[in-house]
Amino acid sequence: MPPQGSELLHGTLELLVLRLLEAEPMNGYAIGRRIEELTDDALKVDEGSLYPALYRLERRGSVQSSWGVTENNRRAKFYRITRSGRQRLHSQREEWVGFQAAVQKILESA
Amino acid sequence: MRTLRLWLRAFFDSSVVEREIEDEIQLHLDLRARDYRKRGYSEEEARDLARRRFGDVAVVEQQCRRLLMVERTQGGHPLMSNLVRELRHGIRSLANTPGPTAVILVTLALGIGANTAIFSVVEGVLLRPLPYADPDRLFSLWENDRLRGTSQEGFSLPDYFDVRAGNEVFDSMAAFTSLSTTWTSEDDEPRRMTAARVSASLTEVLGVSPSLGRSFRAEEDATDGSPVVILGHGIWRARFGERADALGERILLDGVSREIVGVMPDGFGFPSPEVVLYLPLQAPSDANRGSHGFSVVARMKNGVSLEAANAHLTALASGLEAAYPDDNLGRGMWGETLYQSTVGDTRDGLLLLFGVVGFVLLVACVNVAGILSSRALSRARELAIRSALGADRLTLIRQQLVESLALSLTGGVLALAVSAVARRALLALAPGDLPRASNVETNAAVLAFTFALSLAAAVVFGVLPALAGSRVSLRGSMGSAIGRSTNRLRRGLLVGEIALAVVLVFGAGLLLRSFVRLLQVDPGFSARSVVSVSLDLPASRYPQRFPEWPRWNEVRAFQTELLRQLLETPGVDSAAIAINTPLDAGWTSRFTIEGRPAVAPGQEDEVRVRTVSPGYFRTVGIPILRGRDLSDDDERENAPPVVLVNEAFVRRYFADEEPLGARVTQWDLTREIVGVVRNEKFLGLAEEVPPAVYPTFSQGPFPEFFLLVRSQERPEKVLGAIRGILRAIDPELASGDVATLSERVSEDVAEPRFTMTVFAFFAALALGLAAVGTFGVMSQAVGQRTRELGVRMSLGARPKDVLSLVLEEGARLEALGIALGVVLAVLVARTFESFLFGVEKLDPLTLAAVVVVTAAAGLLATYLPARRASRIDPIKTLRQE
Repeated sequence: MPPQGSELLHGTLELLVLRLLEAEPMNGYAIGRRIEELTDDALKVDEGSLYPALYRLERRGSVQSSWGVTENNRRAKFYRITRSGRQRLHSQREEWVGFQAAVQKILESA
Repeated sequence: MRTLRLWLRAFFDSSVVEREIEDEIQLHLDLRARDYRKRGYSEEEARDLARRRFGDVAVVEQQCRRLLMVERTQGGHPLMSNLVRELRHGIRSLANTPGPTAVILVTLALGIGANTAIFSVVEGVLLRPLPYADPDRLFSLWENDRLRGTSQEGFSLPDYFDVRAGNEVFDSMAAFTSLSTTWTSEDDEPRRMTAARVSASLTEVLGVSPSLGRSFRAEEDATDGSPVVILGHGIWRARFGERADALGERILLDGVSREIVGVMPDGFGFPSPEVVLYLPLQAPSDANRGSHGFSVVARMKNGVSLEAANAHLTALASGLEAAYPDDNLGRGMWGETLYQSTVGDTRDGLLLLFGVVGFVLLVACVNVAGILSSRALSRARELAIRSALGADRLTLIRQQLVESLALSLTGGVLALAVSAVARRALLALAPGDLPRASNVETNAAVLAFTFALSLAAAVVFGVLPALAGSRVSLRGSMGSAIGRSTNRLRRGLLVGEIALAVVLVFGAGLLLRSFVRLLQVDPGFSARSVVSVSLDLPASRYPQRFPEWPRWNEVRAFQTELLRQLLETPGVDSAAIAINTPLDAGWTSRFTIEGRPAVAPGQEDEVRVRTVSPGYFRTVGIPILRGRDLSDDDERENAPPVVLVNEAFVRRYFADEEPLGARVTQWDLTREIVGVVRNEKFLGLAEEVPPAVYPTFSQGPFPEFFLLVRSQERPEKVLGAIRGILRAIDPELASGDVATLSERVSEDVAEPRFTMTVFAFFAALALGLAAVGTFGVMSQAVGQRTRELGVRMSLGARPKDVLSLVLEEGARLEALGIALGVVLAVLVARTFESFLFGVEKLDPLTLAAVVVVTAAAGLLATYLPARRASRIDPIKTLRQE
């Protein structure tokens, strides 16, 4: 059975994708797997939304794609973060931290 | 470039994009399945799990495709992405209505194609700079004669030399004259060719050097210069296969052996493309100042204006007038740009046609606008829904404009095919002497014009329907408000279209009537069954020493023998030689009448001179009114010199006196007037007949002349007989231009015929388009009123009533359009004035005919929809509700 986990909060997927691509260029499947690994499968990536998210990021100019070959010699499309993608990542990360802190505050005050 | 490629690929080959998305997702599924297999699932289970985990592949692919399409195509530019989407949408919706789309495309192809064709002629003939260095500074020089009222004569050589030496406004000057020469060679029969005698300075003036060899040298301008020749590129190719060692070879021209010293560049032909050989000027040192046989071209100094040059020329001319009153009294000099003298005469006619064809396109655009606005009407619901869904007005307008653009660009491409055909027809129809006709081609300038015209057309026919279409509202489109406003627009357009058609048909009518008038002119001679051949006897075998004239015995012997043999030929009714054919203006000469008060030398009147052999009047059918015809006795040596004169001569100089027996002196020979002949046209059908004298040929021989033969046989057969006789008398003689006299008459009216024919064709096109437009509007009107008409009929209206109801509505529109058109026609009639002969610019008959023709066309176009309306089945119509 597929692993069960928390649904990813709307809008955070792009943030995660950018964060991962900041480290190194990756193909779509590797991005999905990496999110699962890093969170010990606690976050379930909705694969149906992963690719549209990548295409959307590419359209905005946050990532670039090119065709390459995986370790297993399969043709795959690799995504690389762009300069504007990095800027977006930083601003979104700050937003996220602020948002998280705000939510935390409410939760603790109760 | 890369962007464009991606754009095109994404636009036309979306399968590539789709395959990339599929590949990427397939890879994902495969890798996921591999992971499941590693965890112990079977191959089949692993695949199934991977797919279930992924979700709906098709939906994801669809989402990706949308995102990618936009991203790939425009690098993220939203305006472009919209345009592409709208273009695709537009093309699809046009393809869904193939009927109207086809009508629109054909209309545009005809309209733009006709414009492109005319423009390619205008570009090649009028717009393209002359192919010489700095052509704006080239200047054609002419003399004129105040005393005799001539405005454009050639230069005499002494005048040319004096102006060249004494002027301060020209860098360089050249004299030239065209002539025909016979090239004799061993391996070919003798050929007549057009040559130009040019001064050595010509290449410097034009800024064109020979592509091979050298130009003429200054010493070759003199009579004793060495006999040399420069070849045109074409004849070098044809005769010498472009061999460089043709230089130094000798060729035989008119019996003179000349050394080839140069070859002019490809495409060079001066003063006209027919010139294939260039001979040195070889001006006699005692050239006659009164003989004006040379053209002059000069290069103006930098900064000298046309006016300054002309003022200077006037001053020089009065200096010469004072110095040489015998020859130059009353003589002026003036100049115009070489461009003007080359294409000036054709300019007005071509520009008229260019303007007219623009009107045709306007009519076409109005028609297309009508069709589009009625399409907008039928799409009102779609537009209203899109508008309700948030598409703003600008988007809707843009959508319509993008569609118009797609239509007009497609129309433009089709137009290129139309114009290729039309251009060939135009050139075939054009007068043979249309200058620079060989320039006419489809080049970058023409393509740019077509493209620009297509864009302009899209704006013209796209904007109105777009504005109308954008004003829809959901509620309105359900009711009839939009229908009414679009109908009004379409009817307004139709009225304008009819008005334009009326103007064009009126212009065509005027030109047609004027042309018919021209053809009705009695030329004074009968052209039927007469064949003419031009001949030129070379001085090498037929000595033409000036002091011995008119006793050029070899020339006279040839002519006598030629006529004798021709008259013996069966089928030949009569034959003659003449210095010029009828309608060819020919020569003028000063003359005096014996016993009249003496005039100062140089102030004598000039008269047309047509030297003819005795058979001339019989051959071309000119009746002798008084006295006698020339006879063979006049041809005998030492016969008393005689001359015939025409009616115009008698009217001018012998109004109250007896002409017969009077003596006139001309070309230093005094002759007795023995007869008066009827006027024949000299200067073209449209011109008055000038006073003319007809000396006998043997008493005034010329080496260049025309042979005229009247025969009931076919022209080819007559020509065969003529050639046989020529070969028998002189096998080395080449015959020149051959034509029937009817053809020469027809050449005389070639230009008005060309203008009239093309104009009439365009007018017919405009009228046809207006009729199509009327048909469209009325069909639509009937379609919209089907229910109303059905009700009327079920209430007792007869088919006849419905018919007249619709016809009446059409007639109202027609009447409005025609009235507007007549007003416009009256306003622009002045434009046609200079093209008319024998017809007033506001000719009421033409105007009336135009009204009748346009009304008839409109009635026909209304009748078809009206008849359909009268056959509406009321029961069926009402049941459909």
